[in-house]
Amino acid sequence: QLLGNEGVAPSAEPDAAQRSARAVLEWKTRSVQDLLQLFYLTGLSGKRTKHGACFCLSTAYEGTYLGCFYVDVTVRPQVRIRRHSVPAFIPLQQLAARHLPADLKRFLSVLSDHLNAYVGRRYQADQLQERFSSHLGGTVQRNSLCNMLAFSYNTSGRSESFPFSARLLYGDPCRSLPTEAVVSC
Amino acid sequence: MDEIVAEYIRRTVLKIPRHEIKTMLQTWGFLSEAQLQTVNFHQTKDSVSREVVQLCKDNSADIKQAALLDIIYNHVYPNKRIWSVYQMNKSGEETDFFDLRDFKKKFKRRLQTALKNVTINFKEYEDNAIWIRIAWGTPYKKPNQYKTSYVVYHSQTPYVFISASVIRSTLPLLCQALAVASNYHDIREMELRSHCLNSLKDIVFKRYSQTFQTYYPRPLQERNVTSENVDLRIIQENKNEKERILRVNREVFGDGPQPKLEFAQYKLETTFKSNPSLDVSDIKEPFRCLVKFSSPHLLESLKSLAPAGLADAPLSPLLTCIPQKARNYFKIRERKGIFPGSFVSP
Repeated sequence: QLLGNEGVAPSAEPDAAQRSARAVLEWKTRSVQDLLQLFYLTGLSGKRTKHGACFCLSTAYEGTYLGCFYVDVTVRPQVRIRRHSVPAFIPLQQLAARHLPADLKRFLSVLSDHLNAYVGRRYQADQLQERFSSHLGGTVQRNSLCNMLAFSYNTSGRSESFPFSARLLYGDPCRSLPTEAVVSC
Repeated sequence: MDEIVAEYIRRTVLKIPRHEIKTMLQTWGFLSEAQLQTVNFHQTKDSVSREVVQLCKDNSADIKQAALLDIIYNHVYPNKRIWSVYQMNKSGEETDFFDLRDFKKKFKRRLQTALKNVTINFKEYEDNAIWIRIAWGTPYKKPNQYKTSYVVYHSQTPYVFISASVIRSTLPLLCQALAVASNYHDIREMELRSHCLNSLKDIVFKRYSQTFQTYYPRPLQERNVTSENVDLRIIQENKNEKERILRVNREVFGDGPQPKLEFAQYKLETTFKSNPSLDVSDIKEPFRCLVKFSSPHLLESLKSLAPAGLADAPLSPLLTCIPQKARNYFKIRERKGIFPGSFVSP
């Protein structure tokens, strides 16, 4: 904003001091933007609001960024969630009851674990469907949390029969790897 | 093939708009492509429906197939019905794996134990939506296929969308069966109703666009700078005010499309407050009043009120809280404001 409002100096040649002040401002702006981008990349960033703060939990799986979720909290009289964009199958209410109002940091950390694990599982299920469709018989059956996958498959990718059937259970909601796998043929 | 089934299929086909019939029958998948080729879909719907029924007879369609076609029709045209939202509660914190077979079994068993004469059919869609169609009978009469309720449930969520049939007495039984099947222990009706099923989903699943204050600019968000015809002879006297209104409006409603609701209803039970000189101040009973806002698209019209100059910005929070509180039926009592929410706003 400051850079934009700077008018053109009446004299034809801008001052050397003015030029360097502008350069410093540009550098400062860039480094703040980079810092904010860095915060976003860490998975948890926030901004103060007139009520309290708004947190952005960004998620990723093995280097691929997968979108973000927001939690808007008030701090007076106690820490309380005002609005959010967390999906309904994530147990937000339970996590809030357990960790708020005492420990906001822990709440955000646990919530971030749940969200990252969910998007990780969902991403893996999508990739399985997309990249191994010739090995799969039909679609991969899943649920909203993607913590149960069931599918039939073959190993060759060529034949029409899918002799194996697998059922993967992801018992830990904060992990994106299965805890139990049952394969039958 | 049962005459009742035949007639039911015929009537279902008649409901479908003519240019959609072939596509819907293909989705249904009960008639082969070769069979569908034999039907002339350009003749009158009456003739089309009769030909389709004949083909179904050749394939010996039963009530299960007919019910499936009905589910498909309602899935494509859900806005012909009015949907209510129900919320379920549970105390347990164990990880729920949601076994679909288990869900279906428990649901059917619960319902059929209480009422033997019901037709129950399921269809799952790729967005994890489970559609359930129930045709109701009585202890003495077979299910009436024209008296149906529809349920849409997304696994592992506490929300159920129900389009009830005309028989209101079946609702408690249906709700109970749903709670039991999905491992919740109670279920209550929310104050949220609309014809637009997807908008109801958007509201409770928080899929609608909310504005959150953030430093990180959202990648898909591009401020649309409307290039107005700049005629330098015209000076906007209240340009600042206009910009303020747009800004406040945007903070409240966000940038994206609003969920589609047709009405909001406010039941007032407050005492009449007036100028003390008027002689009505001794009326202590609440002044009962019902205010109903209707619109083909209520939230979009509320969003356009302030920019159009028809209302002050910001609008009353009673109007703007609708998607966030997930309700469009309100009761306003004496103490100012709506009921205090729980820890997390729904």
